[in-house]
Amino acid sequence: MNRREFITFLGGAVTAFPITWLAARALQNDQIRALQLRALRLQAENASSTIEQFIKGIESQVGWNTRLPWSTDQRKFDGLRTLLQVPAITELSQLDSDGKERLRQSKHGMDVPNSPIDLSHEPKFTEAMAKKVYYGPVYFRRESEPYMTLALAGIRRDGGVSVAEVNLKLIWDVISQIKVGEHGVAYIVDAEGRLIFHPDIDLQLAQTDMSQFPQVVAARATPTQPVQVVKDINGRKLLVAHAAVESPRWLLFVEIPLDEASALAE
Amino acid sequence: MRRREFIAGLGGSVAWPLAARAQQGDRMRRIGMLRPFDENDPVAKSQLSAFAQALAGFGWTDGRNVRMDLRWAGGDINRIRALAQELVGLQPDIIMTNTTPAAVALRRETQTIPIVFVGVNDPVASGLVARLDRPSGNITGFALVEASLGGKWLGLLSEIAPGLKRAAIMFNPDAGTVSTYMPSFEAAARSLKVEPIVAPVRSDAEIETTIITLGREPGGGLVVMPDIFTPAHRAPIISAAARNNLPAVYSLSVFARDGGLLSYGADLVDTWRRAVTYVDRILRGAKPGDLPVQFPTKFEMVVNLKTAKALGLTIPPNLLAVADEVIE
Repeated sequence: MNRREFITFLGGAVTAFPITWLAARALQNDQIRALQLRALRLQAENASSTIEQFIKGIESQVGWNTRLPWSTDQRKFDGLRTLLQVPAITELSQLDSDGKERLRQSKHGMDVPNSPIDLSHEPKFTEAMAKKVYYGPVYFRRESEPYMTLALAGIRRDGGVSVAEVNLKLIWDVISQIKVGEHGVAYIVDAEGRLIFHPDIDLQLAQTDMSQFPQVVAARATPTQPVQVVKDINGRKLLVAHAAVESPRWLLFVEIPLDEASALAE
Repeated sequence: MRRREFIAGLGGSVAWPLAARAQQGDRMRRIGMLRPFDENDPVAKSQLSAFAQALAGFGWTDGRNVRMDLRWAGGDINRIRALAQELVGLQPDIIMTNTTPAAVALRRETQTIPIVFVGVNDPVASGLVARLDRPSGNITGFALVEASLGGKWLGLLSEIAPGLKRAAIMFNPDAGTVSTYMPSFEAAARSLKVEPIVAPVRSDAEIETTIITLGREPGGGLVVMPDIFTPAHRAPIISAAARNNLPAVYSLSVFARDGGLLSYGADLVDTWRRAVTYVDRILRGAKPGDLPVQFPTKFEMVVNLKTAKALGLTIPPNLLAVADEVIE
């Protein structure tokens, strides 16, 4: 007999006892908690898949630029097309296979051909050449808009590397629009454990190191357990779900104070 | 919030992006709209319909749970001030507006009613917000300031007008936006070996004189700034440029659609659409001061081939291939 049958049995057999009511209520609360956990997890997974799709989309658009061996006219055309068609890409640099910047284009500025800039020792060149793709740390322009450098190497070595400066405010929109109860919140930490997206712009800008926060430690220790109860730094219990944003190795969290979740289940 | 609402809320918001999240059965919200230009302006119309459509996407439908109070100023600064006062008097839940003078006029009238602006060149310089990341007052929105655009426009002009020797930057000095774009315009002029000419205009007559002078010798070109004056006076600018054989680059697409040679700039219809994300959040209780000022991400290029042909210019095929719109 499973629990539901047991309760039904109880309900049928001993209707007169108040225990029926209590048991039914306990069951209902269990079910509600299960639903809450599921909903938290779904929210985290959904947001992370939206973000992954966004980043994959950018990668495929940038990838077009390095398909062919170097030709200035072709690159100029592809670059301009990319800038006009992809709102999130603000700037695009084309590096040759020696790491020299051959062309820099921007939505806002004049094209700069053959700048004397040598990027052959920069991670955006070396990492992209070694691993095909490089995701830089999240940084802020004008203290307000989140950006990331994304560099992609061509399929052939002579394709060089395309470096895009990508505006990530779409991710901030995704995070800020997640609503969980009154005090629930969603946020993202990067591979180093720094807070990179949070609805509160001040917290986001501060890029707090959260690598030792219990929810981050727990998520890293047991990636397959998507929902956990952890204590935050103030000792308050939280119900936390997480999902990985695979490509840049970020972790997305959705959390709600446990007492709020419990009060809602009462 | 009751349990049922919590679960419904969770369930509903799982499917991001959200189609319809506005609370049903709430009181009617009021959105005031201060539009600086003319009601019959096709640009203003398309912005407004993009806005209303995006708003409906968030569950806010005009006449059902929101009401829009629109005021049109017809490009008249004094009227903008009077209408700002009138709109604030209606005590709406939020006011939307565009252009610097309209945002400044509203800000002067109210320190409490939330204001969302679009199409403001430089919100810090014009005193609307203290900081971009945390505007901290009752106002936030979508700015245009990309100081380097001055160079971008001149770069484009040099690509479509071979043999460019002199380029004028045309603006209304009372609108106060040119200083933002001037340094990059001048830097581009130096690198392109083009003589930069500063061309302030306050009237149709001054527009005419400036363009005649520029067109007198070959090698002249024109870049027209985005401000509250130039779009309202686009007809005389476009016609003078045509009569004097002067290639010109504009920042707003409406110029190219009306016969200007080429436009490049932020897609304002897209910006109006994006502004709805802030309107929605503020209607749900967010404070404007907590929402950072955003910048345009979508840019558009419109090329008028008819005008190019009349000027005897060949637009590089690369530019034509990527233009969002080509007018033939």
